[in-house]
Amino acid sequence: MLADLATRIPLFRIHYTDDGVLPRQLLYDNDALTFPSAYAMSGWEPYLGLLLLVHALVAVGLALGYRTRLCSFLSWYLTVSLQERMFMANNGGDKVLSSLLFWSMFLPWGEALSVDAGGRGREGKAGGAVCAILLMQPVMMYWVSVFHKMEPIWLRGEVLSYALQSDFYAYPLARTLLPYPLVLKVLSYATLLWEIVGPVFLLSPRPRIRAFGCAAFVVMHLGFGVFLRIGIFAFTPGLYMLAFLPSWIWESRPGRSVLAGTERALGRVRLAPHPSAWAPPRQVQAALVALFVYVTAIALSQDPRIGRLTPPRLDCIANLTGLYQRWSVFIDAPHIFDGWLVVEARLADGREVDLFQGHEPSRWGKPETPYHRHDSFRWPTPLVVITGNKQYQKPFVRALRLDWERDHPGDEVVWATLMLFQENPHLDYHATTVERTVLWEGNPR
Amino acid sequence: MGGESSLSRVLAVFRVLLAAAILADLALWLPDFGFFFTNSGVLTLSGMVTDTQVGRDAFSLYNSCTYAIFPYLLFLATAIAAVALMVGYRCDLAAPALWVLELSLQNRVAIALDAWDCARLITLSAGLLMPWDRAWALRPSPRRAGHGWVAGLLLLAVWGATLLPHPGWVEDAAAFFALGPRAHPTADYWYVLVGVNKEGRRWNLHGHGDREPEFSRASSCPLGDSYREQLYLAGLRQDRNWGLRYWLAFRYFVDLGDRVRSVEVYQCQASGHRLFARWPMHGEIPPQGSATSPGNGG
Repeated sequence: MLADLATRIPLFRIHYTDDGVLPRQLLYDNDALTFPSAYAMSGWEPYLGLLLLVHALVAVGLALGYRTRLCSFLSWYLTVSLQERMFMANNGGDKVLSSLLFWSMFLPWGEALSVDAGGRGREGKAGGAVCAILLMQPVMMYWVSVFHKMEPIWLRGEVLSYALQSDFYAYPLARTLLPYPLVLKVLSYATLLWEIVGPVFLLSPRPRIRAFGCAAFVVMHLGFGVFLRIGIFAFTPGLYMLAFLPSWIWESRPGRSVLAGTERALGRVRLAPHPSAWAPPRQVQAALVALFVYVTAIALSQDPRIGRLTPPRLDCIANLTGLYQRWSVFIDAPHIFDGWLVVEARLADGREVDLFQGHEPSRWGKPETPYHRHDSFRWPTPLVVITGNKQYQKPFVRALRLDWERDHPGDEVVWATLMLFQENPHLDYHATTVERTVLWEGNPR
Repeated sequence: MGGESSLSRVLAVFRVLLAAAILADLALWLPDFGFFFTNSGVLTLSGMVTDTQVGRDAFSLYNSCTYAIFPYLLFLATAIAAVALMVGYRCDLAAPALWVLELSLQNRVAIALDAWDCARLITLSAGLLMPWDRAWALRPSPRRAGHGWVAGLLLLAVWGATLLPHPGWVEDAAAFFALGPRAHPTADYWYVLVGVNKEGRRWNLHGHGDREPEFSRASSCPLGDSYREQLYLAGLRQDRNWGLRYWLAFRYFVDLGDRVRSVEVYQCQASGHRLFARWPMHGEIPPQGSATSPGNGG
């Protein structure tokens, strides 16, 4: 949670305020706020700052196991609020985080190694449907993803050859692999194969096989994170893997020293414990199982070959729990979004600048990185939405104008042109073509 | 002991009366709920956050979700919290919850408020610090130490002092803000709606259809005969977009049948009246400032 907040804070004003790329007016006009988001209750920036601080404190409270039930609920609520306020910036890692926080609200995870438990490690039983759901959620994620990947681009092993060409999604390091199509093909097949077989490892009754499965998934996601701009998706699935770890890991010497160290640290925390042993009753567990089945159906429905499996009026359940999930990855890789944006602006004194890249004067040539001025993995998905929808384009340019004028007092933007330089990826990555399109221009006031 | 008991009873009466006042206000909102609280009404969420700085910065739970049922649920929650406060059930939870809900409600409909709304909220704020459920309470809160009632009275005094510079008091509509539009002693603006049929005949929509239009204050009430609508209309001259929204909401909520082809809105004062806007009952709303829409605002 804290890492997630850290990734959002540098872009907070431009992503989460009414002066940003997604002002609340657009959310209201499109009926797009389907979760009662705390970050949408006011546009006053001190309020948003205070809310961020509360959000961070709640995360610390959860880590310490202080008022665990309350912190669990607030963690889930504030995290989903943040995600829904700027739905454009979400990726798979956010969905993993929000689903983990939701299911964990029903776990007794405050009864050991927490301030509420007096800092002590305890043998606790946590059985029941909730634990089964916690184990099945990542399994569902990978198998539904595999189902979506039953597409020619994946089955031919070509997906990485396209995906790593996208400067929006891939780091510059990824280009070092492009001259080796065979390596990319092997990695594509390996990913697909492991997502089919790996969950079986996770569900194995044999501890060492489970441990291997956990380690392999963690390494896989970290590997993705080295080459692709996936942010917290590089490590949030690893959190689910903790649930699969066999007990001998915690009983080993390193495991015991980690637990002992945690106990000592928690023992130093001067906060009054608030123990609350609560297990969800059977009816609640049954409802959670039904909810999980429903969420799985929603995830499968994202595939057009299956179509809708649940009635539209029930979509509110997925929206209000933050459990709406979509696990299709690069299935349309040949048309993957690639290129760069230039927001060429004319200032009142006649100078020309690029509000997005930050260059002065603006340049049309391919930049070294597509997000020079605001480098973050939180940009690719919003840019895909913005460049594909006219209604978001003026607010995007307006947000960049406000951001520029704030950082450069006295510079007044009088005209701006939003241009997309789109590269069309080819298997032969040398043969890309570039098309320039003017998406919007005018006075961004 | 006897003294504390008397004070507890006084505070309990205060609690019950305040809760009753809030419930009465909620009941008065009910006939116009859709008109003011939904996105089909005059005060769309989008309009609130774009047209006024206050609307943009104000905190409101109503801003957080666009599901159509959401404002109804919040309204219901406000009523439940007020009932809980009235009967003295867990006031330590009910009172803060009611405060947040009442603040949210008022910020949602900021253009249609008056001084009584401010007073209610201030009084509720003061009550948060008072041990007002020690007597006549269904389930008193855990006891608080200290003289919370003193802090509450101080807060009341401080808020009262800060209310005095409120723009509603210092502008020309001060009495209006304090006492509501009907109590205003001198002519302020009022609006008269005139229906027009296909032959061009005109008549007051509020009143008898067989007479020529009248522009007196008595003819001013919009069809809903709502106090809150009058407050809203009084604010129309502050913002040109809100007249259009009023009209969009009017068409959505009011069915005048096929006889009325268009409606003219006249802005009236004691010195005379002028055509404020003309909108068709069917089809597209003309853009602001066009020939058929003379424009909004003063």
